Amino acid sequence: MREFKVVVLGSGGVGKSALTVQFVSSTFIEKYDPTIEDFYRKEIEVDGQPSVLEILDTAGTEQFSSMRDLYIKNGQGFVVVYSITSQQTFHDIRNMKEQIVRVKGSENVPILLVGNKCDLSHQRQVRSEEGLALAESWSCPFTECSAKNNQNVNVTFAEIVREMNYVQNKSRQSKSCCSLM
Amino acid sequence: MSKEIDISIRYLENVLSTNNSTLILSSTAAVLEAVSKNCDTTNGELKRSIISLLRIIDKKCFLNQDVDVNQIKFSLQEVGKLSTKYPKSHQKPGNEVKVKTNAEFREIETVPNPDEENIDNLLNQLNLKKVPSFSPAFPDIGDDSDDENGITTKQKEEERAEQHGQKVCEEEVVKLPDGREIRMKKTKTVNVKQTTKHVTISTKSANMPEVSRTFMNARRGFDEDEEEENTNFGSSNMRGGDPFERFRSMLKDKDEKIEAIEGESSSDPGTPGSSSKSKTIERTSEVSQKVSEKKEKDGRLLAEHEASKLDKSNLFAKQVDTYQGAALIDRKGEGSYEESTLVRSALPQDSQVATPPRMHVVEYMMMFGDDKKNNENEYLKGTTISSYVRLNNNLTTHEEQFKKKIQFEFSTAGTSSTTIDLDNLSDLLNQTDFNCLRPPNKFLEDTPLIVEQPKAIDWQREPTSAPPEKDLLLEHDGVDYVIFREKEGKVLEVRGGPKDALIVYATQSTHSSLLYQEAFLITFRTFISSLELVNKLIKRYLYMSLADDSQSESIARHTFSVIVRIIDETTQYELDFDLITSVTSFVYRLIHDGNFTYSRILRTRLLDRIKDSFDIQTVLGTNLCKPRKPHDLFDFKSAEIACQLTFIDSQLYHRIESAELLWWAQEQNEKKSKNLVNFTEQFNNLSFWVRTLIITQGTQKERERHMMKFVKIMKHLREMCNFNSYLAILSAIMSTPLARLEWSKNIKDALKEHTAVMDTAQSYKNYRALLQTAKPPCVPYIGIILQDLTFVHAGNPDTIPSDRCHGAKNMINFLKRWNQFAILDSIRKLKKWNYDIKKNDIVVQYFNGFKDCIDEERTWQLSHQIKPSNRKSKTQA
Repeated sequence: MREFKVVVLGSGGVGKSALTVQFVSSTFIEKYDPTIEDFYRKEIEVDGQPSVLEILDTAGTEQFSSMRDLYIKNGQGFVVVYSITSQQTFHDIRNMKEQIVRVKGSENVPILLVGNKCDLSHQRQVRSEEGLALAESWSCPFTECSAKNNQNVNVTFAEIVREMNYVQNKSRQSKSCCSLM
Repeated sequence: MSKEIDISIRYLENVLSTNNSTLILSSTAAVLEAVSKNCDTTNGELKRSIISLLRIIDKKCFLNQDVDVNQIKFSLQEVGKLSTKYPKSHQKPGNEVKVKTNAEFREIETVPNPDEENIDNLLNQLNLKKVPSFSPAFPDIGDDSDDENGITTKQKEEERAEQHGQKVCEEEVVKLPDGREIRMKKTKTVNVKQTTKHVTISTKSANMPEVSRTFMNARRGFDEDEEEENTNFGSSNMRGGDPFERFRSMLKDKDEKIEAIEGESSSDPGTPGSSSKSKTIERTSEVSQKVSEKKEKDGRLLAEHEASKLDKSNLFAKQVDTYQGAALIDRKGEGSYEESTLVRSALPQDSQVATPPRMHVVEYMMMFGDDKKNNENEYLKGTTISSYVRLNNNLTTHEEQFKKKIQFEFSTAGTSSTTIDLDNLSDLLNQTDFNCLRPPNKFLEDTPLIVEQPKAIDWQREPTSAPPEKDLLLEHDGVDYVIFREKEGKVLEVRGGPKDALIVYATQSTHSSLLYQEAFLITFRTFISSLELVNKLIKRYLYMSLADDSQSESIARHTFSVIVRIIDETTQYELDFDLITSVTSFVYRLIHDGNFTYSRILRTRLLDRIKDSFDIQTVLGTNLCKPRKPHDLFDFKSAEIACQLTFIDSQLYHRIESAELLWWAQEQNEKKSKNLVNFTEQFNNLSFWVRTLIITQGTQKERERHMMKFVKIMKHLREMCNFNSYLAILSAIMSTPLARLEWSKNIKDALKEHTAVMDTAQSYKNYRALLQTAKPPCVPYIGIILQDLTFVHAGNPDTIPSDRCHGAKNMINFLKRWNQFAILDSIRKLKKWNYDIKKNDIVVQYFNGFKDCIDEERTWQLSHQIKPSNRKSKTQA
């Protein structure tokens, strides 16, 4: 089975941890323990193909700016999250793509832009169009979701899997076509 | 008027003009102490005057409000007047039931009281205390052969080495009527050493009775040293470094005593004709025991076991007696007692040890809590004593460490032990007993039980008959209202309940476990603010203290100790106007009730918290002036740099309160978690500082030399278990701008053992494993702790879903708090240990607060200058 390492990035308070928790623990667990080895691992089936995601969520450690490089280095796909209720968090991630590309040393990095907390539409500060525009400039997909209401959460993670599959295939193709030439 | 009151009042009057809050507050505390000691504290008029004095001073100093100084002076004079009017009544001791001021009775007593709190009794009790002999239970490996005729030999060796050292220093200062002083000093050192070895060999065969032979071997050593010294206070300027100078001054002292005395200035406001005797004791004791067992059959080794135990204790105590003529007028003492135990045992290779279960503190504690009938001391082990479980890679040794430190005070003015649960010194000594250590192998056998978490949870519910207006805070017992976890009919720990029930349960003296109380105190901020809790507790205390029955009194005492503990751990952020007002008005109430002892304890603690200022500049050395010639990295040994980094880290780490971490996981408020922010900033600064030092070097050779130096420093940091700086440097070395450059094979090889630590896979499995093997003292990497807390917070509801508790709403989900406690408690335990490092100003100065660094952009630019990127060319092609 394929295994992917996904890094969740974004400022503090955008609900990253809630998003991850919602994804990795869809059932109610009596003893909830994030310190166990496979806590952040989950199997997901996308387009008939099962794969395992290992999530690295940076929630709680956003202050450790010196560690961001390492997080990015460890990841294969990136879920960049902002909160639709805060313009500031949207602003914070504007140059995230450039950072990821720089660390990974390649333009072809699977990224997904996510606007969280869409259940709080009455407090919305970032319009869907703004999110979409940024995603277009990054040439990556975009979703809005609500971790609280479990709305679009699995879709989000399925989307990043598709993106990773797509980028992998593309680079494989380009390699094979290079070798052909 | 008593001399003591007079002096303290006059001193406070003088201090008022300085406008220094701290000074004024501590001088006020002195007045309060003097009055409570020397006056009739039952007098209403006097109490009222004290309260109004405190009110006005608190207003000025605690709350920083404008106050007319003349008003304070007036209040102070009033207190002075009334204290003269109502001196302590010696004839009516019955009036002072609540306050344990029995100084004057002791004065009359001539026969020494064995229970009296003085340093000699303390020492006697300590000397009587013996480390019990260590007898680990080794698993008996059965003989699996059918051979009935073979000879079985069992050899048991027991070794015990004891080493005790004691240094008693007595100093007597006699104040002559004209204000001059004579000082005498006597030091006595005793060292005792003793080793014993017992060997028992028993032989058994099928047709012969068992034969046992015993050998014993003992050695003793004794060494005593006494030194007497008479010195004059006036000649205190003698230099200790020059033995001749010292010798001369001693001679002079004997021959020309009168002349020397005349040289003394009389600025000291000593009481004429008084003398004071101070006695300091330092006592260290170390007992190491080793037991090994070997079983052979016909020369074939069946089993071999070995276990050892090391007990260490350290006492430092000081007592000052003040005499007026020949009568003892005051006795005060303080000190600390520290005890640590280390048990290590080798496990038989072939014993059935499965993979070690992941040990959570809570699980570890539940193991002790599981069997409540078990000895209380066993239970204590998991809560007040730091315990660490270490299992090394091949599982051949098992190690447990216990450490306990107690600070205490005593005085003739009544006991005020700093460790609140301990009523007096003899209790203190009983509490430090480590009699029942669980043998490690039994410990491992028990673990499967812990791993198996109860799945079906039975709810125990409160009676619904309680009328809605009933105030839980005024109940003796909250147990009926608390929801417990239950497994097979056995009540495990608290699972949840209404806020007030949890508070009541935490303050009652019976039923509730120490473990729960500890968990409550660490995590209450997640469901109630300190202010609200303190107010509720004050209400509870007052209600209970008004009742006459002993149960209520005991609850009141317990409640008070919880209040003190909360005040002790309040953060600077919480100490706002409302909290201070609540506490100070409670102090007035205590005075009103005649309870001067409690009021003084509480006021002192509050003062300590408010005074507790912290200057990060001093820690980082950024306030030091720069040296003329700047140093560079290679001026210092790697070990020294590692030490100084650890010195800085551990100071910053010790400042972090559990509350800050809990808050951070919830709201990431920098104002609330100031110390935490300081600590993470230090991490980032160090990382960028390291990057800068490496990348700004002009040549490849220099860059590699610097890189290698940091790898060496990292190695030392790991050995010292300073994972904060260790990971900060590692994050720098592994950062892409540096990692993308070419490095020699030498460096790549040296880095291999470190890079795996930073692997984020499987929830930082590698780092967690490394941390488990760490021996305290230790500074952990706080990022993972924050991440764990964030996820525990995000993943667990604050209240128990109402459908799970018969529709009741707002039941606090205490399981979430247990989880938080498990994470925080390990932090708190690590904080109990300290590194023995001296600050080296030159190195700290060199660090310069790690401010001299370039930003991330510039680092990237330099990196690309050294090795141009091929990214753009690729995309263009």
